[in-house]
Amino acid sequence: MELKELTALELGRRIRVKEISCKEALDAAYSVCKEEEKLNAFSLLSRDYAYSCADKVQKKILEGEIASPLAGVPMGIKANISTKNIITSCGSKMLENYSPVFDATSVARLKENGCVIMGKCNMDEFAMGSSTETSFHGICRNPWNETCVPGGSSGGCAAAVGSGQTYYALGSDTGGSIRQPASFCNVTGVKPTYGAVSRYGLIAYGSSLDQIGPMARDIMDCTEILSIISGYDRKDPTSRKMEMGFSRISEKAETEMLKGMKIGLPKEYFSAGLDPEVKEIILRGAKKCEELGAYVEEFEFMTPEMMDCTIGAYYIIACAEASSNLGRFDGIRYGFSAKEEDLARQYTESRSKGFGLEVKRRLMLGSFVLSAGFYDAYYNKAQLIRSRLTKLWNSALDNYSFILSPVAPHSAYPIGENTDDPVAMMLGDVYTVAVNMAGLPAVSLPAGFTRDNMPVGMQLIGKAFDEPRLFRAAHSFQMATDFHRKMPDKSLGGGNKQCMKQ
Amino acid sequence: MKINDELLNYLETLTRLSLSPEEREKVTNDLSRILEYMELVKKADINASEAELPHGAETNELRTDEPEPPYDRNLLLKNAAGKDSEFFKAPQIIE
Repeated sequence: MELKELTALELGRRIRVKEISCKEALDAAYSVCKEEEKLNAFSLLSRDYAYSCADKVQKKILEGEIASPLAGVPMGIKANISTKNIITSCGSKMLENYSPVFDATSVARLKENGCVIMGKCNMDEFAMGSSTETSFHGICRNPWNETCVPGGSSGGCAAAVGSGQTYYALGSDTGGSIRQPASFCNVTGVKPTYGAVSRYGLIAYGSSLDQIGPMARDIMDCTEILSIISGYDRKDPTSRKMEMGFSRISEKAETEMLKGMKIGLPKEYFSAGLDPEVKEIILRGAKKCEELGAYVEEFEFMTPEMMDCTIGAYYIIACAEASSNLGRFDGIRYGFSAKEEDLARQYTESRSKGFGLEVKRRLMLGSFVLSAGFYDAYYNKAQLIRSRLTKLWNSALDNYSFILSPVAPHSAYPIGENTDDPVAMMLGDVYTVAVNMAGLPAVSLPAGFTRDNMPVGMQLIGKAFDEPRLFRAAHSFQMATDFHRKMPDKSLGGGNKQCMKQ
Repeated sequence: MKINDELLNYLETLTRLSLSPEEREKVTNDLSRILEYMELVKKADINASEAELPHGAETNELRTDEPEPPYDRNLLLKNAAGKDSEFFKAPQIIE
């Protein structure tokens, strides 16, 4: 097996038993980065920092000062998560040269456990997108078919892990931005319960929706990462003092874990609009869960009216919060500055030249729905829809251990296909946004491939702070399948989706 | 809902943005389509009695009010476009 095919924990074990040094692991990873340069998965490679870090971690491992299973393993961090003295651009010209003076809490916790940061992963600008086509650093490509999108906004993370350039990554998920690119790139991705992971240092998009989460080859890696980064942080008052009680998932087959579990399939999620191939793959995944002992049944989740207004409600809330959060970018304390003589022009020119079009569109939508005369009809209404959705989810999870659903209505699509149609782009988030609105945890697990050899992920959603049980169930599925171990073999194609809009 | 010039000018003011002519045309079309889709939200049959705080909002975990050492001033000024040894520099506000 090639090094790049290992999971993060497998590599960590080899480093601990001195089969390979931290430096050798990093050399190999950067070598894959060079081969896969065309994917543009990293917006920045922090080589000097990474080698210096690998050196220090190696000494600590040899002296017995660090025992983390992930010590010495190269990893990537999404470009909107603050890393001290490493440019954190959020995929935007606005922060092209912004170098934080502090680490995000999740980064600091990983550093204590010996992580080696290879670089910052490419992303949609300020996390506003579902395809990683809006980045100031250029589009990112899918490792399974380079003419297709990797998904977004954590597309760079998914492409980097999916192609073997790095062993795991930290992404962020506001409406599906970890889960959907994980599905498109055959990676395991986790959006934790809201409040499970500190948002301190995550450059905010939608503060009541954002969560940092792991993306890796399998759920065991994700469990280890989450056990490190999760937990109360006094710098984030929305982080919760909840001990989730992670214990190492046994490496023995835990196929027993699904026995007796009741899994619900929302009927409305499997109707028109879902690609037939994706439907077939997800239902096969459900069947596998049944074979492993779960009781799987379809249920009526929500009315067609609620289904129809979920995406709209999400975008209203997210863009409203974004319009407030991105107000801080004024070209004075940090960020792109137009250096005007007049204060109003300073703000306007800095923001107009620093932000891309998608960001501008969302800020305007957000300001509109918060403005006088429209606030009640849009923003207040969206929050009421959110209240009802949350009740529906909690009620469903009173009856079922987990909800199983697709992650996206389709597999990865050609680059440029949706860039002119903002509504089509939004509709791709139909299965993910409601989870953020309810604050629940969800995983995206590789579940199969289309006839074009494009990956399809399956989503499992659990109760709030029920990550340990959710991850054990996911592990059972991954012990019984091997989709998550597959890596792109470009000779097999994905060749039917050649078109790329000019 | 149709986005006209007056509304777009108002949104530019609210967001402190200035769109180019090409951007204005694109944003006008895009926002009009998005808001047409958002009619589904406006029409939803749901009233204020269903209002509940979002998940987690009912238990903000506050920290004790203890002072901590401040950041080094140079670090805080590090990313500023205009600065002197002590302050951020901005365009003149007061005549």
